[in-house]
Amino acid sequence: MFGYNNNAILTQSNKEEFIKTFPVTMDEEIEDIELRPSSVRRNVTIRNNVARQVAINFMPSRQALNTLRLRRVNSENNALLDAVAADAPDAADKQADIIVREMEQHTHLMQDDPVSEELRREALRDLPQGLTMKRNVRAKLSASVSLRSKRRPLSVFKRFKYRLSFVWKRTRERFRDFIFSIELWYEPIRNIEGHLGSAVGSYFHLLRWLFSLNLLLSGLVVSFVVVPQALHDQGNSTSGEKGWLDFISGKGGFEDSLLFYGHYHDGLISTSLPITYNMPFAYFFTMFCLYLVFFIVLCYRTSYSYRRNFIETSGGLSNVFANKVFCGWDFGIVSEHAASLNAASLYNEFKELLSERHKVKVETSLCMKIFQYTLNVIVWGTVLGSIAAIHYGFWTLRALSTRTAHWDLFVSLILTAVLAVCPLLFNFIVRLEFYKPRTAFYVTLARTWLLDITTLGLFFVYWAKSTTACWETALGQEVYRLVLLDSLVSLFLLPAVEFLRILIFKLNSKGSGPEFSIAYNSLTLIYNQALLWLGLLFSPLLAVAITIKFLLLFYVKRVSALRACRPARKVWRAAQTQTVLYMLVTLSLFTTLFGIGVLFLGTTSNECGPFRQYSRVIAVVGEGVLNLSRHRTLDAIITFVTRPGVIGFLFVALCVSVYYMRAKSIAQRSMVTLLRQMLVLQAKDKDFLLTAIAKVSNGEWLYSPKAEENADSHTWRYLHDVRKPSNAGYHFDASRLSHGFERPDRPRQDRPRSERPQSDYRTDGDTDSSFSWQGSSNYLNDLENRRMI
Amino acid sequence: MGSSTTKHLLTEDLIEDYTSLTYLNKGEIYYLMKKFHSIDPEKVNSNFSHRFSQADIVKKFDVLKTNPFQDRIFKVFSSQNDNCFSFEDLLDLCSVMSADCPSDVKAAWAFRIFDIDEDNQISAQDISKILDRLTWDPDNRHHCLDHHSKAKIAKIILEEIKLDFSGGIGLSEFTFILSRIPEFSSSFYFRL
Repeated sequence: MFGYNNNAILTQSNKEEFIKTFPVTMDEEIEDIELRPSSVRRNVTIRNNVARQVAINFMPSRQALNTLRLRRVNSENNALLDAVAADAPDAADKQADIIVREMEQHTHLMQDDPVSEELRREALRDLPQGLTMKRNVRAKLSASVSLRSKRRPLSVFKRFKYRLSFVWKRTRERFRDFIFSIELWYEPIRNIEGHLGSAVGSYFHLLRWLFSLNLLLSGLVVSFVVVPQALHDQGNSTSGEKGWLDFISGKGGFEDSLLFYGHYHDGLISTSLPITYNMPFAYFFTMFCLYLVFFIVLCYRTSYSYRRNFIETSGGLSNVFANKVFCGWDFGIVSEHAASLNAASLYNEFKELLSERHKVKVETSLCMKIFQYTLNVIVWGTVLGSIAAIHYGFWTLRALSTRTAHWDLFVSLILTAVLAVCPLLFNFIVRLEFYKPRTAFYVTLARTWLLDITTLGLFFVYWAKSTTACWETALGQEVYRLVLLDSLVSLFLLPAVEFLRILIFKLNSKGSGPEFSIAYNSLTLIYNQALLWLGLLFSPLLAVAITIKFLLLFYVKRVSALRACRPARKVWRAAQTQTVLYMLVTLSLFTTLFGIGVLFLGTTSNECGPFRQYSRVIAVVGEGVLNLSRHRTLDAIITFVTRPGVIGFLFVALCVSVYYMRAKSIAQRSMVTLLRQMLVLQAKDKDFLLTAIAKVSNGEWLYSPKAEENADSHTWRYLHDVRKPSNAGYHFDASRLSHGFERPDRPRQDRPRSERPQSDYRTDGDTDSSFSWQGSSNYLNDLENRRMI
Repeated sequence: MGSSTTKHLLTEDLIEDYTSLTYLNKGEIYYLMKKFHSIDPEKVNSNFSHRFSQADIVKKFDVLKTNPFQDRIFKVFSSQNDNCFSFEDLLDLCSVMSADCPSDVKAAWAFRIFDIDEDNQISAQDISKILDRLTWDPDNRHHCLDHHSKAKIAKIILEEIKLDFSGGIGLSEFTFILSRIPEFSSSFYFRL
């Protein structure tokens, strides 16, 4: 058996020679192993492993690496710690000692100041050990630190810095506690995650996030814009007739109310107190700050999510098997039904993946490829064409001069219906194309979003270009109607459809029941948020409306998810989709900001609203705040900076820098792959040398009887074959030994390799390659001997 | 019942200790204590570090009930290796499973859970055992991958992952790989 496997790890050409050289070695080794009781054997190998690990960790290159990444070291220690734990009575203490020793290597951790104390705390927290162990380590560490510290007085500046950092940390922690104490819907979301998996949970996380964002937004808008105006209105209240149709359409008595832009005062608001409130400034700067701040928050959030889910995880696995095996189980699942569904879906996915691998790759012919490509292009063309047609239709509908009683309401109703139905159509149409499922999903998402945002943009353009007296209010009304009508759809119609589906399913149960459509529901959220971004400027109270809507939506969706939906059959991976959704929200805001900049800021708003007194809206800054007509030089500077030439130059500079960055990132990426390869090679080298050294120091050179024989050829082979990193056959690792030795009582035919054809052995010597090092240590011995001579 | 008694059990110092050594915050710790305390108030009151058996804990914490790695979780997180949980063991578990825990720390614990034969390596055998657990479904007994396909999956995974050409996946390889799978931290996560 052993000799057999030894053959396996050798190349065919030098097999004979090798067997000739080392037959005795093998036999002796076998005897040696079989004489010892198994526990002793295991301990020995483990101890070797431990020694090796320690040695590796103390190597200079590792030390350099360690200071950069402490966490990894801690986890590397694990092997070592487990080994110690074997059967010693004071095992815990020893483990703690090992960790402490490891941590003492990092000087920045061992300073006696608050910064390194904080670092120590974090390092302790990141230890993959239980609390008892952490405490133990902390006690030892602090003893060690106080032993080392050189007592010297702190400078005033440093003391101040430490105190500041401490206060900052405290505040942050308090804030976290506070956030947790008001964490909304903790229990419901947990419940949903338990029943439907964390992918559906992520929809509710998005909903909650948007809700709290809008809550903040509406709070700010109400306190800075709406309340002052309401105070101003107290004296001269104008109340028209307010019927319920007016409530939906936003016309009649609602037209000139706090709801819309046109109502807001354009001058100073004086109160009974001797202070005045400049309404145009308040309106402009509140909106400006809100848009800006929320844009920054969204950008930050999106880029964070992107970095986490796309960039940091790049260069991972190309195969999905590891993904499915190690991340397939959703640990948050509570209900038994969901668990058994999860198991079944995993089973099916494994089956599918395996059959895919078995399938002979059918070469798609060039003709077929061209056909697929043209079909995709045609479908894209059709979709874009139909979007354009929808736009044209709306434009004509809007421009139609037949002023029936509720024409505007009618148009909005049609629009809402179209926007609700189109995603379903897109979802259907994408099946005609040749995409992978994930790409198909993204494509549908992109099309729907494109439809939503361009339609909103269309209305913006329509109203901005129209000759209506107060187009800002009209646009506000349009958005207001869309929000109201959409809540009709998403709060009543969709849940009704979902309940109908489950009813049909219960009467005629086939398959696994209707699922919660995360994509469609998330798109509804994004559409609403896009409406808010557009409408906020022209209808400030819209923020409140959307907030209330999201609040209701949460409860409605919770009921419909728990009652009317079944867990998904396929495991739906949410992490990257989440990023895409955030990206769409951010893009909507960006588009809106662009539109506002182009269509609103530069134009006059003389008819109504707070900016009536200014020649252009942007003049609020120029005339109102900076008083440019009096400061000639400032005016000249600003006129110069905003000239097309300067802006064009800035734009070109930006493009050049983006290009430069991109080139740099490509270069760095290739450098990273190069370095990674080098690291792997070096790790192999180290491993090889260390095992060899360990063997020699364990006295195993005794087992090389005919070392002098053929010395030249061995040395040659050592230098040319073993050192060559690609030669995996010669590679060895003591950890494999422990693996192999651990179960000596196992029947030998159990070993997987014995059932396979012989030709396989060389490539995956996993269990019994224990003899490769035997040979190599002999090579090493040769070298040693030669040196001695 | 509950909050006043549990507040009495958790002193300020202890809470401070827990918040600094775990990824949980005060509210979560109180919440856990309340739940833990409610298993058997008498025993917890008399002995703070009372160890409840696996069955007791599972009865109270539904998340563990359906988990195919339940026995592994109890084995790994139990500080006395007796498959029982004291409050601190429970805190350890929840800290690792919380959303704030960085994915490489999560991966280190996941490694221990997935290393079913406890030889510090995830070998082909471990993988096939994991596969068994994952696809085991009480309703569908025939849903079980056959020996050959399990071996094949294990071979594919090992071939792709092993960076140092040893027979199994070592801890550092495992953490390296898992921190590159975006779904890992969301699947290795629950709230109690």
